[in-house]
Amino acid sequence: MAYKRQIGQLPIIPANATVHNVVCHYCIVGCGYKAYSWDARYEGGTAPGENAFSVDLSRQQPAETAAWYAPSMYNIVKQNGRDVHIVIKPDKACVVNSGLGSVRGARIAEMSYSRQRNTQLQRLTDPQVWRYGQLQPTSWDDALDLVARVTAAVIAEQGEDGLFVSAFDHGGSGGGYENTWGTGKLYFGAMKVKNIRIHNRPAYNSEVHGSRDMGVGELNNCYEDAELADTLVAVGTNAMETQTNYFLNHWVPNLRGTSLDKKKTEFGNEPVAKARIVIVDPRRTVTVNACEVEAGKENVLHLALNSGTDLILFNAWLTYAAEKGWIDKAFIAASTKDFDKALAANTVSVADAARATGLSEADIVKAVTWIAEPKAGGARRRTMFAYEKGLIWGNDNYRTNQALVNLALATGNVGRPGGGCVRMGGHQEGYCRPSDAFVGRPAAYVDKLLIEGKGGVHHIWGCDHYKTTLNAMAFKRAYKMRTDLVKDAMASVPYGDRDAMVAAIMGAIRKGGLFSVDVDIVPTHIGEAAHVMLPAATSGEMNLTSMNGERRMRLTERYMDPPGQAMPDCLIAARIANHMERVLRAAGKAEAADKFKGFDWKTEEDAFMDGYAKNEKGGGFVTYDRLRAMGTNGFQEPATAYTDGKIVGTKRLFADGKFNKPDGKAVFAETRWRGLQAPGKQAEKDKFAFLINNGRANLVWQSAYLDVENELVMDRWPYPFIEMNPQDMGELGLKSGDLVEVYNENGSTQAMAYPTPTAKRKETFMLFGFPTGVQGNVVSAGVNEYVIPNYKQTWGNIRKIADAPEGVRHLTFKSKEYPA
Amino acid sequence: MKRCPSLVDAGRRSFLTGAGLATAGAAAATVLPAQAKAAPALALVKYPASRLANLKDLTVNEPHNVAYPDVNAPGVLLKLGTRVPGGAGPDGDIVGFTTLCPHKGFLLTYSTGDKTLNCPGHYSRFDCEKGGQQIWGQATQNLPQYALRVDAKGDIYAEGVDELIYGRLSNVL
Repeated sequence: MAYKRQIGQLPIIPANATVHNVVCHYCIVGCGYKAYSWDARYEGGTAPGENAFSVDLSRQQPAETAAWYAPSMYNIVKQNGRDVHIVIKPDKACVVNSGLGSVRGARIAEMSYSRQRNTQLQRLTDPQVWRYGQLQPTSWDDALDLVARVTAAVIAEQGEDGLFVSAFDHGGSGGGYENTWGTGKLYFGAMKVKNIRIHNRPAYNSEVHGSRDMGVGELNNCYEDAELADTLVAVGTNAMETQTNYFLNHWVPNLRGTSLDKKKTEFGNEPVAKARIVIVDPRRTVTVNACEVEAGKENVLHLALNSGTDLILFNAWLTYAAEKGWIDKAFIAASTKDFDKALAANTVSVADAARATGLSEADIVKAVTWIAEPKAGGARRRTMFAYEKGLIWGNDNYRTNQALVNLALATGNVGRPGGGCVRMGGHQEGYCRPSDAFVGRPAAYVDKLLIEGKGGVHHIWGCDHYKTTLNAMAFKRAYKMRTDLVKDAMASVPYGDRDAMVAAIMGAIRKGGLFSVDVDIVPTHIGEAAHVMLPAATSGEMNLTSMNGERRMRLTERYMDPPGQAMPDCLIAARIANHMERVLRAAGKAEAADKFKGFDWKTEEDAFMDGYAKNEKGGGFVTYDRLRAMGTNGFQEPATAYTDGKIVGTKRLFADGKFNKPDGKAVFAETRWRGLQAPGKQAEKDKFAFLINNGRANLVWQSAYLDVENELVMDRWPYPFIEMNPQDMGELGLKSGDLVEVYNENGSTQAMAYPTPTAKRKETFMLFGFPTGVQGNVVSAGVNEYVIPNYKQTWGNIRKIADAPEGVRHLTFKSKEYPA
Repeated sequence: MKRCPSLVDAGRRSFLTGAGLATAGAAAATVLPAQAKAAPALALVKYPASRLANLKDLTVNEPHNVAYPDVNAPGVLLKLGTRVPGGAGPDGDIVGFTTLCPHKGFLLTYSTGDKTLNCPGHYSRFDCEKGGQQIWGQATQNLPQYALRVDAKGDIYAEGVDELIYGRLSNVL
């Protein structure tokens, strides 16, 4: 049977409950929530005067009511040492989500640390060190002394290149401006660490170098633009699952036609209609399904192209639009350069594009007509271009990204209402660090160097390579071997003899060992290899600032205590710096020690004021108090003023036609088609039977690290699904839910077969980054010229391992599509 | 399944009709009073046993509209035609569910094609053959299902619900 909580009633929020601003810390959209908390010993009542909603709760409440919350929105937690009830529910007044809760955000309360209700007890509560053959709790000072001594010793022998770092660079949980500044000041300020990588890729690089190098920052529009566009173009983005409430609250109204009044108000006499949408994705997703339900099939064009051929399609669109004169000549002349040069280089016929993509010529032309053909009366068509991991983690990332921006610029769709050429995003953003220019480009391929035995100490911040990197099986093999060397050495001396311990560790490092320090909120898979684990606080256990996909910055207020001794990452970084300074000074290295000054922060607000307020554009206008007053709507970065008690923001970037280049002109890029770009991909395609396309799913998007201890989620997805065409399953003798092995020359992994009639033959889709079956095991080490991984173009074979195990037998395997 | 755009509004109207029915008596005070008497309370909701239908009222794969635990909580009885875990009746194939989507309270509609309940608001889907498991969707609960009992006369009674129903902080108001 499906999991049921057997909860028939919940405590009522009293009228005097404390209210905090909360922004969901899982995905980029950053939906607004409110946390209501009150003392554990009482509750409100059903009479209007006795509850926070001022309504009669003895009556059934209507659809979309604010006066209801699900059991997943409730918990009992510690607040300043006292037990409190807490309800974290979506905020109707937030313009991002207007009261909608996603299947992830609506579980924030249930996914909080609660000893009272036994939720997320996996959370790390104490610093831990490898002692007597296992990780054991210790004090912060003891753990950080060991970290600082070993780090200093490695740097003394190998220089700063001997320190490897894996660190989040985003907002939301595990990130935010406070924590990226804390880690950034440590590794890019006090030190100059160049062997550093980001949480989801093997180097320190941008996923959208291509767009930025053209002068076009990638989060350039606002969510309202999706309500205003004539045409939406969605490339490699499955928005209903991975930007759920952005899609539901801002795309759907345009597809339904309910944003027409907004369009008329904004655009006057310009002809407007409900939106049409072009979706570029090899797979039919639930997003395609929902668009058809809302807009009608005649207004949805799903281009299910051959995997990895997006670039040639975009070049053909540009060529065709230019031939037809469907380009914005005035904008091109005033705000850009190199258009003619790029067009000449990128010219591709529709016929050639059809051959490479497998699409029909008619569909390619129909799409570009929807995108660029002027409206009645000659008005420019307003088209919004949105892309995400299908492009970012796809073939030839840099050029494909640029080819799409070329088209957006040529049609005058950047910086204007109803336009934009934007990534959809993963986490919220929250980047504030000293310059990383010294890292260089291409940046070091950190995973490769670690596999090759380079480096002596590895600091990990909120990353789990074992689950979410490419070539993951080879990485894990090498990493385990290197860290085991150090573990065995540590077991050879008494823990309390610090000098002997450091000497033993250094001895193992000289033999190829690696000392691993893992900062996280939960015991990760890579944490199995760690010698020191440091417990971090997450969003809501600390004050945390981030911005969402339209640059909307908010403050999530601290509404509960972190577990045990856990601290915000920024303060952990500061305490590491303090210990580095002390250790270096004791070793007589005063000059090196002095570099670690400036980390005397007591609170996350200290880190914020040291980082964001002093270093980010408009940061001087922003304080915690001001953000608190701006609630869940916040403001859109960059801030430009503080007027009448409000921070004034920026609705769209580049609205003045000036781009991020010294002369303000965006630069068109030459983006010739060159087939499957990453080394080895074409050969893999030729050799193996199945495309192992991969990506995220609604239920576990940016929340899987906590979902592993959530009953609702693990009941539904005990193993990662792999969507397969039923005929392919038949040929392999597979039934629904059977465990299969996916394998190729890179490695092997497992998944649960999910029959999917809409899946093309020999094209599968596997849930990415899932703990009970790591898709990255079968992804090759091949990257682009800037070390961007290519997860999507992966081919492998599939064979049955076993019949569906017990935890799978009760599951539904019906279609995920809404029956229209 | 044909999509009916008025379903949502119909759902809203059904909430409003009969809304005056439940005027609960004295509720507990919110703000801590200076002096208060202890008042015992039950740990669990006390569900009514309500006769929803008789076996002969049900046809295989045709939804039979009901309400439980009271008239303001719309639901459905289904005779699925195949035995399912938790199914009631002589053939073990009768199930009952709330039809308020646990996400935002929109009225679910039954798809005879694959025996699912579907939400026109945000496309959530629940499998009636799998205890109301959410196939895909926005709800953080599987669909609240009735505990059913069938007596010797073939009368079908609901005696409980296994998850919180949308729009009420107590399943019994």
